[in-house]
Amino acid sequence: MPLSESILNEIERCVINCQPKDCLKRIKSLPKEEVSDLRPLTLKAKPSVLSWNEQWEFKNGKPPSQKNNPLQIKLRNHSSYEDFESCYSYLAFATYTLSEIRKMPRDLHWNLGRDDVFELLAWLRPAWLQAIAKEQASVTLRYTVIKRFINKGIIEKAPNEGYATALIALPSSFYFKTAKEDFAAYLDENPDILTEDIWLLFQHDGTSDTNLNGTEKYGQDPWGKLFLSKSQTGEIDRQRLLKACCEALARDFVQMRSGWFSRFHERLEPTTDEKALLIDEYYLLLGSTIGPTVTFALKQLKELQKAGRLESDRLLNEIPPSLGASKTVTLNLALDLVFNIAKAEPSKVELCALAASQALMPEAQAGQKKVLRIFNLLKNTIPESISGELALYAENFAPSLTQDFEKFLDPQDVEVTATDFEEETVEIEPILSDSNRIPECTSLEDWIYLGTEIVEGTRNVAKVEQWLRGFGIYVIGAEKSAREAAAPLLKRVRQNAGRDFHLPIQMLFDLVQSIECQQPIDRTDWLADKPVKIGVFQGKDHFREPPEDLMALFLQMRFRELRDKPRQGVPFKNLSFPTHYPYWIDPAILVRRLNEYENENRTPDLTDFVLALARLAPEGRDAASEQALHLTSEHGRILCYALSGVAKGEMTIPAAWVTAGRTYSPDRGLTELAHLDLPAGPGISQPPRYTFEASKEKKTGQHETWYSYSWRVQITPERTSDIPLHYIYSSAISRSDALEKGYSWMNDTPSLINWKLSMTPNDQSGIYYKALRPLMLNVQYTDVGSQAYRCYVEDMIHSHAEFAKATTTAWALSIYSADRTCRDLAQEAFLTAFKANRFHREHAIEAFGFMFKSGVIMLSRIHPILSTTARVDQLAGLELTSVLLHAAESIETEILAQFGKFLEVCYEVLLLNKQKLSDRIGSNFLQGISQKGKADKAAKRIQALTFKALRSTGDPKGIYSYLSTTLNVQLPFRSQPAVDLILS
Amino acid sequence: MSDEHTNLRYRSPSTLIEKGNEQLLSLPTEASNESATDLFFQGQVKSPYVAAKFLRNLSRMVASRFHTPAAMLQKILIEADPIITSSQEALRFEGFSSCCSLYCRVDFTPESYSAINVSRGTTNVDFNHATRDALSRIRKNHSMSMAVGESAYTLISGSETLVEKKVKLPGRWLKGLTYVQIFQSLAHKKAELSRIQSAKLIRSIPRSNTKSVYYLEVSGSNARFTPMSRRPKCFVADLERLRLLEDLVPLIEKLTVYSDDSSNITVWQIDSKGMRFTLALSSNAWRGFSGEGLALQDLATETNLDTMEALFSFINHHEEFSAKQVSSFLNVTSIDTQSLLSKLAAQGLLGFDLNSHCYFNRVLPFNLEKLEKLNPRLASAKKLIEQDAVDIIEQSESSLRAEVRSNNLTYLIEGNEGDYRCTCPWYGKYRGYRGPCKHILAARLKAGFLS
Repeated sequence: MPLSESILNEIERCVINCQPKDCLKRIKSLPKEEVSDLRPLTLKAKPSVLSWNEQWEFKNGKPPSQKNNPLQIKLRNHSSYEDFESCYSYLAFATYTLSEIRKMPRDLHWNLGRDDVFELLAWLRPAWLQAIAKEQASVTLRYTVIKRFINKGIIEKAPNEGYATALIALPSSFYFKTAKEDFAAYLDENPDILTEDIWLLFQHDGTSDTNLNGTEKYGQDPWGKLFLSKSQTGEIDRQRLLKACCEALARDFVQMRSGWFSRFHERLEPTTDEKALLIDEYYLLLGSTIGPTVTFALKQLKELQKAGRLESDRLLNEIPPSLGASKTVTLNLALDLVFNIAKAEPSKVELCALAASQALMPEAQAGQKKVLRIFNLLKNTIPESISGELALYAENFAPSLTQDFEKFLDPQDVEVTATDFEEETVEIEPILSDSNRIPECTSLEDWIYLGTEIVEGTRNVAKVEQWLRGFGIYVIGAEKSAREAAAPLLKRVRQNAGRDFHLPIQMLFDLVQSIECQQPIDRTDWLADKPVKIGVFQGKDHFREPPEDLMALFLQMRFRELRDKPRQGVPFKNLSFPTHYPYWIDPAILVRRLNEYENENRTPDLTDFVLALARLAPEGRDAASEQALHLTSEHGRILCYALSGVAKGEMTIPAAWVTAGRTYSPDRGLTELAHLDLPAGPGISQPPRYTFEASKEKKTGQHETWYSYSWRVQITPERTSDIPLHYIYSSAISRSDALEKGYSWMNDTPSLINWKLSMTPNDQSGIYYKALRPLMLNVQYTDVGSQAYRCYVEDMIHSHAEFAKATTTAWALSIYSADRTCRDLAQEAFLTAFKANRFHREHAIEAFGFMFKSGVIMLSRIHPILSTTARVDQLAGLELTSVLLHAAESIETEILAQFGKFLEVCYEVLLLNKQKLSDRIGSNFLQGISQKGKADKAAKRIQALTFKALRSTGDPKGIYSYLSTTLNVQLPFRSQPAVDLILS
Repeated sequence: MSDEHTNLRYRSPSTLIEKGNEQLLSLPTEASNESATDLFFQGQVKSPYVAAKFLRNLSRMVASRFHTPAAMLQKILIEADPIITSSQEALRFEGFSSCCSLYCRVDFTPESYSAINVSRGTTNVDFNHATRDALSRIRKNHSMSMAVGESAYTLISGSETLVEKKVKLPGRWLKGLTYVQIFQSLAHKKAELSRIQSAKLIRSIPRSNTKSVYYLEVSGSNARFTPMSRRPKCFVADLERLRLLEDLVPLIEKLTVYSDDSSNITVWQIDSKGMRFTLALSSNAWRGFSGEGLALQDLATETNLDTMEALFSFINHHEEFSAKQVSSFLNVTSIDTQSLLSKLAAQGLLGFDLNSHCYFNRVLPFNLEKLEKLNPRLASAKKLIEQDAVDIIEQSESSLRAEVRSNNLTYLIEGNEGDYRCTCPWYGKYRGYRGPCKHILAARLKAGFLS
């Protein structure tokens, strides 16, 4: 029988008046089979719920007006909305199908946990509930909600991943309640949790938010504590818990989450007998992909071996997967097990040696030493199988162990396994080589095609400059039809400018707008001489371009000049267009360009001219300066000054004269310009002086400990805001206090960094000192190592610029970066600069020394770089090792334990280069090591090695010095007989 | 692109039956394959430890994910089951990662097994959790047999059970499976590394997401990944994907790296005891193989029906064949051959073996009728021609200059043999690295350059 209209109207009134209690009462009073007749009403209420659900924010206590409101519901306040939502939930849960329930807003699913809804569903028993409980377990439905339905027999238990995750989170349901025994009481009420459900916790690892590791760290480990107490009382089978832990570990859960199971296994403190029952499980874990799980299994097996509970044959059969481990601790444990067998059962030494040889795959010297220990137990002749196996690893022997291993090898085997590639010789080309040349646009079409590329990314300065040059030559004054051909490009620029608020793309936008209109655009934000708003995000101030970012303002000024060109309608050729990658100008070409200007009787724009001077390549200046002598204008004389350092004639453009002087020699005072009334500031008449300090502070929070690094750069004299931007070298220098502020570098996007680096390539110190702060953060946080800051290191590789003090400090910080790519790039930068003789060890020693001193050091990040650098280029490896050891001399404090591993790596690198050692590397530092252990041993070996090298030179002065300082030997006289005596 | 739902049903679960040190890997095929009444393959693996490791790693790769597409719940894509192709030349297991950026294949060559029965066929197999667990228990002194086929289930239990699994396969998964073969056929050997060199290289891969492109550099006895490219090298983006090979490091006898400079796709092949593990990486973790568009020109080329029929007949009678053999059989040029083979590969009919540089015949057990619709760029190009939006301005034997009208704008196209440029944003963004844009395709089609 269909539902009567009067009842329907009553329920509708309840909904319209937001009366959930009456609504529920009336629904429940209906016969079950008539409830579905309420569906039209549900659908009528749906639009209002959906739209209010999307914009639930009430302004001034009033709900947002709603057009899509078929029931004409008038909400008074937020509470009335909640009442309306309840009414809708009753109707929806009572009438909807599974797919409709799935499409309901997520937060309405939360209502399934309410008592009133539970009552309704217990009465209706809808078919969809089973599926929703399965899908929404741990998402919107808590364990207690699902369990309630299960206990009532409304749904069946579906022990899936969501159910297990909801169970992990169960204790947190009671966390904030006052009575802590609630959880215990709940378990008593639901005994199947302890008998059945808890084992699901060992089969699923939960989610990144909800997992046992998280509950241990942040929630006082309620499950661990419960299992411990219940296993003590015998309510949970202890052996089953131990086995479940191993089975969970065998499931290769995410490393962080699997840690709980191994820790809990240890907290149960299993006896040897209990562990002996789990031997199969431990062996299985040796093949795990999770390193700590393998280590855990090896520890258990070691204990069992000690108790004599392991069969050696089976162990030798099962252990191979762990012998390839890359972690030293795992490898050492595995090798210890093998060594113990070899020692206890001489008949199995060969088998042990064969197995152990697989552990030579990792480069770790410590592991290889342990392998050697097993090989040394081989007393008789070496079987072919072993020497053959060993030969496979010959190229991986640590230099210090090569000799020891070679006695077990058949030399012929080694030759067979060696695989060499063609040696790549990295040719360092001069800046002004043809391969570095930047091509020019040759036609308007070329310019359009290039435009389609740069509008997708403005990072490539050379290409944008190429485009700007084409803009002056082909676009200005072009026919309208030609401009129409550029319409797709203009559209794309507009699109991208709408998405990307960063400076370069916005400036391109202005340029193309000016092409379309052939007149300046009224963009007041660009024209105003005030801080520019770029990328305004939610009106927050820190997204404003700060006034201190003078380079950005200079760039803006240049684009503004270009933007006005279409109105003048006269084609022009940019002087500052770089001729060679990444941003250099061939001096001879600049002379020619300026000559053209003179012939056409035109005066260059000041920004363009200043930028062109600043980009002059260091090569080819002498030849070009002779050609420049023919130039007659003041601009010509300025160019001569930039090329030869000779300043003469009238000086009416001081900013250009200063730029020329600084380009000629960035580090000296410009005395020849003393008569000019120059502003007082850094990078004008005098070069700036930088001082910096850094410190590391240990901080402890509630759950973790971290280090906080601080860095301060002081620049003298300070840059003041009244210095015109055209003093470009001065504009590249930030104020000291601006460097302290985050916003001074937070807006530095990759393209803006590249642009800044391209503006004063002859002296990038100001830019690199600004980079120190973000690079410093990279030492600490990986995520901060965003691609933006990699640009600095990339530039060190491509720029051909000298590694000045600031560059070297930035490089040294990059090599410590938490961001692996940044470290790898820094390594490349070093290799390139070393090869091109651009690297200056004294700067590097100072930078590293400073970091050693201030504690800003991550030696563990240096080890792999040292090794790989030495592998790629032995001399470069030696140089880096030498730099680091010299830098360590500045340490006055007690030697840290971490130096042990560092010195071992240094020793291996030095050993590779023993023929090339020429100085006593870091001897003061090495002598100062007082602690016994790895560091001391390695230090002595390095000293012995360097002495050996010194002895081979036969230099008496060096030998005397070494003996007196290192060994404290006082010789009565300095003569050849004494040297001979020592050498003998 | 719409999702392609493919429901896979199995007569029984795959099982690794253990009897002491004897292991039998039973792999029942997909139940809908009614014609498959016999075992495709039955034989004993000579190096069970390596085989087990390879297969275990294959299943791990299939389950891996390096990118979750935007607006797509992570759980939508679940691990898919590998496909087996059996032939006299090799028994091959192949599959994709959930994100489709990684293709992997295990090849068992005849020298790696002693077979009782090998016949030709392609099917899906169920790789379940229990099988994976059991595979990880196999050690060197164990022996292992494999049986692939419908009747294999009788070896497990007497009663027939049907294991039904619903796998939602998105279009790009299927498309990638067909396209990866085309890219492999274009790849060339870049380096061959020894076990130690491979170990050093693979273990040097950063554990964290690198968010940067790396290049493989080989020099002297050293192979390494470097973030800077000084000269053309192997390009590897999202390097962490290669870490999946780490478990196989101790088994490596030789690691061969192949790459195709134009598409930035690399293929890594491990050889061990007569078995090969192949891993192909797409140019980015967020992009499958299908997004490259390099085969679009081949697909756009019009083909003579008689030639296609002859080609079908040829591949039905050859298990493995090279492009040269096809070229001489059909008496067509190498360019035409490449185009024909790309078309067949795109229909899922061909696989490619980099080791022998030969194609092998394989019929994917999916409904591939919709694949033709999965090339939207080609469809858009044809639509532009239909709309008469293409004007050829200049045309010679090899060069072309055209204007294409689209969305109220006119795009310029110019270029010659294989090197075309367009003023559209797609071209601006990818500069041809991901195949031609629809405007270039349309202009070339209109000019008759693709017939």
